[in-house]
Amino acid sequence: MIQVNNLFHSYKKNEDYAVEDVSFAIAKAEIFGFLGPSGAGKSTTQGVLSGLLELQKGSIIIDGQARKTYPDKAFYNRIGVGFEKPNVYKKLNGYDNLKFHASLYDGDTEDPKTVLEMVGLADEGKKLAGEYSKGMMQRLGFARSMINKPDIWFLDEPTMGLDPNTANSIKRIIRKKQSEGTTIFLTTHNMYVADELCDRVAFIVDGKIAAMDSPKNLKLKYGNPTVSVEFMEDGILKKKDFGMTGKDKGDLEKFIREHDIKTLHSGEPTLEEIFIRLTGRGLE
Amino acid sequence: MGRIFNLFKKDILLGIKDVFIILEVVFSVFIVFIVLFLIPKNIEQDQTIYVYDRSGVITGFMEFFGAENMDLDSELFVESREEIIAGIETNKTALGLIISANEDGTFHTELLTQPYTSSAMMKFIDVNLEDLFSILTGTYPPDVYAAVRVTGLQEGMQEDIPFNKKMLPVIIVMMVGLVGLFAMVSLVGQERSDETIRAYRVSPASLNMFLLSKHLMLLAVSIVTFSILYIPVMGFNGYFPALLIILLTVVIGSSLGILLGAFFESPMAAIGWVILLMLVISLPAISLFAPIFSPDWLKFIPSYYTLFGLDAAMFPDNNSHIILQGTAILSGIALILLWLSAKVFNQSIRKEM
Repeated sequence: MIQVNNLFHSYKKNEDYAVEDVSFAIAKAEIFGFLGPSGAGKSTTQGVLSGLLELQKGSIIIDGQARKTYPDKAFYNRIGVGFEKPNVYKKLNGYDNLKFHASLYDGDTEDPKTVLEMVGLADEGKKLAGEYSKGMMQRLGFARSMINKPDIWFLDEPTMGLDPNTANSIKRIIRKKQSEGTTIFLTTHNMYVADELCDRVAFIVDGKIAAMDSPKNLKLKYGNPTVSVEFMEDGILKKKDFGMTGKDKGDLEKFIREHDIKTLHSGEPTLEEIFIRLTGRGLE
Repeated sequence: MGRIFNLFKKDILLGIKDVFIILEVVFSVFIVFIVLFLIPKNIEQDQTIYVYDRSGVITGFMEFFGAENMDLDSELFVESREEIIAGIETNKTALGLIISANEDGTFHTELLTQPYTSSAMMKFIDVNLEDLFSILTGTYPPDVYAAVRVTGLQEGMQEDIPFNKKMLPVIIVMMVGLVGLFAMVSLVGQERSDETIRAYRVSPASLNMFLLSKHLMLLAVSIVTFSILYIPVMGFNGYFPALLIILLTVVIGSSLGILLGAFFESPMAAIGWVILLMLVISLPAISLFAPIFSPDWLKFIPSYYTLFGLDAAMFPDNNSHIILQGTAILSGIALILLWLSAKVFNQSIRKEM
């Protein structure tokens, strides 16, 4: 559905690239995550893909059609973009914000009331957006991004600053949209969100892709699973970690036989650990 | 059509909620009240003319017309050229006049002017003197002078316009024309600082439509505030030409506002430039009240044409060419600035994420 080849972008239009030689493909109804620390090039890539920034070098092919410097009107009609900052009119109420944005599109749009209900703001629709809490404003911005029923949805840190309940409801909406056929490009520095939602992720550092695969494959390929054992010795509860391959495997079996084992936990490496292992950098 | 209507509706709604529109209307009502009831109708604005009469012709005039029939309030009689020069050096709006008699009985006049005295003003004095001398030397009868005043060259120097009405063009330029500049900087800056413009940019609507809607909103507000200020004072006399001139000025002001808004991310960051521009744009008002101050560089400021165009529309005096000239020049400037501001804004915004 979306094919990106050798994408470069420089804000100063020189050799100082914010995104450098980035290539990837996203299938229809796939959730593709861009995982990286602040300033890694995630938002720039999303900016170029969504048409906020010009296409300087490289190619973007969507449904077989190559993008020009800026996309055409038809492209903007089919995309939704959720930003890290809510981008809402604070002097308008939630309902009017959505109604205004819906009026900008040519095709069929969602009913603002339905979308407000989806994000848990049904009772706050008549309240000025400026009076919303940060989380409510974030949800309104998220609702705005899906008002035109997009079939390509760009989401930048969609759960940032939300309480766990609200974050879960946002994740549910994302999965529901995916099941309805929406292709989702998600940028985040939150490994849990990426792990939970994305079919595939790309690690991006200094504008370059360091690795790309499904979270599971990345963990299998680059991770080192462990087993954590809690046992009693001399009346004290102690803990010891074992690897799950090679010599460690034999040592673990022997240890279990010889000790008073209380608990056994398998330890799967997190995406962040894989990220650090591959890039030498943290995600914050 | 539907899209521009919705954008316009949103901008009007934001204008009302930001209290900008309400303030504009309330201030207009307040100011029209001041113009009608508090500003005096008569304020002397006579020009001082230092006269060195070597010929004794003024005494002749006094005898001819009767001193009581001559309006000599502005004239200050001196005894030498040096006194004139000292006088006009001190009083920067004053002029000097030396009258001498030639041997053949004709008169010679020398006008000492300020470097910025307008040619229209000089011509006006010249023609007046020529008239008086013609009467005195018997070239044409005195009743011609009494009946036909030289008005064609006065261009805004009418004597009998109440001062409060004379103030109106300046008030309209400040309250209506310049508000476009300030309001546009604020409207564009707000959209940039709240980043609502980013959300707009990923919709199918264009940035030109975004700007057009704001222009339309400011024009609509300007029509209302202009009417509040104009109609109670002037009725519908010259209403439509004056409205056309002020709307063109609003477009110029709001285009300048877009240019500033393109460079400054928040309204407060641009405030210094806004004040500076507003001061420069106000300068031609001096020329309206003191026609002797009319240096050529003033004509490079668009509000010069607004002020004199409004003045001509409000006080018709054989000066319709000023309205036409003003409208043509303002239209040209408005078109250039509309195009330029849209281009600069598009380029500047597209560089941003």
